Amino acid sequence: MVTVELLPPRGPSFDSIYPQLEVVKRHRLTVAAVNVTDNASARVRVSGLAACKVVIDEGLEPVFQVACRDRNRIAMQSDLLAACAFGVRNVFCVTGDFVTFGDDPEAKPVYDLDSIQLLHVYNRIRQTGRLSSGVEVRETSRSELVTPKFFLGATENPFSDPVEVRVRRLHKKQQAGAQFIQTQCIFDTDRMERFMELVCEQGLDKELHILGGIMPVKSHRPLEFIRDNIPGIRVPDALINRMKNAKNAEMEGIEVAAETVESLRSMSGVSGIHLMTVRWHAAIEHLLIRSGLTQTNELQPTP
Amino acid sequence: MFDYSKKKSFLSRAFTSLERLIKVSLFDCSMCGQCIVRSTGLACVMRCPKQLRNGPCGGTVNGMCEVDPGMPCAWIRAYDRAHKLGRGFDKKLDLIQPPVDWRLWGTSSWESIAKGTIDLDGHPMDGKLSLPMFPASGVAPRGKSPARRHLRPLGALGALFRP
Ligand code: SF4
Repeated sequence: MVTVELLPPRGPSFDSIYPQLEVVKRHRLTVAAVNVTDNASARVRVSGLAACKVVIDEGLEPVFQVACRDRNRIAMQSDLLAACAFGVRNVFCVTGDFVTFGDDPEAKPVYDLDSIQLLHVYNRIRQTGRLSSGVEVRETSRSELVTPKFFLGATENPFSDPVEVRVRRLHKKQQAGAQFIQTQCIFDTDRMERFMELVCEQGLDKELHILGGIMPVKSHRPLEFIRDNIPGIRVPDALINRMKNAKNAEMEGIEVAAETVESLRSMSGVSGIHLMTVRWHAAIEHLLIRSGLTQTNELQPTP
Repeated sequence: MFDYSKKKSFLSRAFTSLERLIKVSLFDCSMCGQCIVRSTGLACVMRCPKQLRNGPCGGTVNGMCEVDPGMPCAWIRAYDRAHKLGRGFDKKLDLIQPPVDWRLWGTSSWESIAKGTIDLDGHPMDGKLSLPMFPASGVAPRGKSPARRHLRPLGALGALFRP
């Protein structure tokens, strides 16, 4: 299974997301869903819920991401109900990067619930039709109880230390109701392998659909940026050197991503990949074709 | 965070200052008013800038906090200590902690336990959002440690600090 990440625009218009949606549409048999981020890196962007609606209107399947950083339990539940009303069927809970990493370091971080409590609250809504307050989900007091149906997901970072603690936390997420997991970008496949071994040892691979995060890069610069600025992601020096020495850095970037996909295929317990291409939409197509994931053969990669 | 009760009885103030004195010096307590220190290896995890109650975020690097790399990650400290304190403590890390009742912030947990509004695990007694504890995952390396011995002299108060 393949999902792709969509970064909602910064400006008051959706024009900039259509090119990526077009690429996804061409590969709709391969790409199962579009994951819409929620003010990623603590930077203001168009609301994820609104972007989900656009994705639905384009005939695609969105994943609605909810970060605990910006909303309290009241707002998070109201957004869930709104998402369900729009027809969103996949919800994804993240803790959210701390405000000091974004453009508004002076903002008040909310974190009313943490991601595991949020999963639990959402899970209870779909299982029992009760909000966190215990109030039942009904349109009016006379109408019948509604138990909205959606698929629940969460993130995990296999690269932060120690790996045993990551697996224990993953177990908590599964217990709280998560059904699918997206990992942080994978550059260090050895570590990913170790993580998946522990996951399989716990039998968590049977309960969870785990998607490995893949980020194709155009040069070594984003890798250095990630290594220096994004906490908890491992970027091996060998990879940076390889990108530095590459003749055609873009093709090398796709090649590296394709090799990562290949190694994920050989790990047991991994069900698919999650593509984070930021604004490099052509990379989605290149990589799908290069890895033999696409199911339509009439397509040629756009240059 | 918000202290709703404007007027506090002498007893309530006494509870709060006593608890603050003891727990701040012992656990670097943040007085969340619903103490879960028995489930977090006797380390206060509310020192975490994100105030996570269910384990470390994905940003911890080498045991340090992503928000302030000069500060140890509250959660990694909790896992280390629980491991040192033994299996009972370690197992409790797999307890899913219910959402925080922010009204209790800054109040005394001991007073709330005495009043019966929260239990010894720091969970509300109304059971509105009660969460199950699931079997320990058994991933972490385990071993016996003598550290628990130091807790014994605490006597009756020790009940508050045992897993
Ligand atoms: S690194 Fe640790 S202390 Fe810092 S925000 Fe994450 S969980 Fe909290």
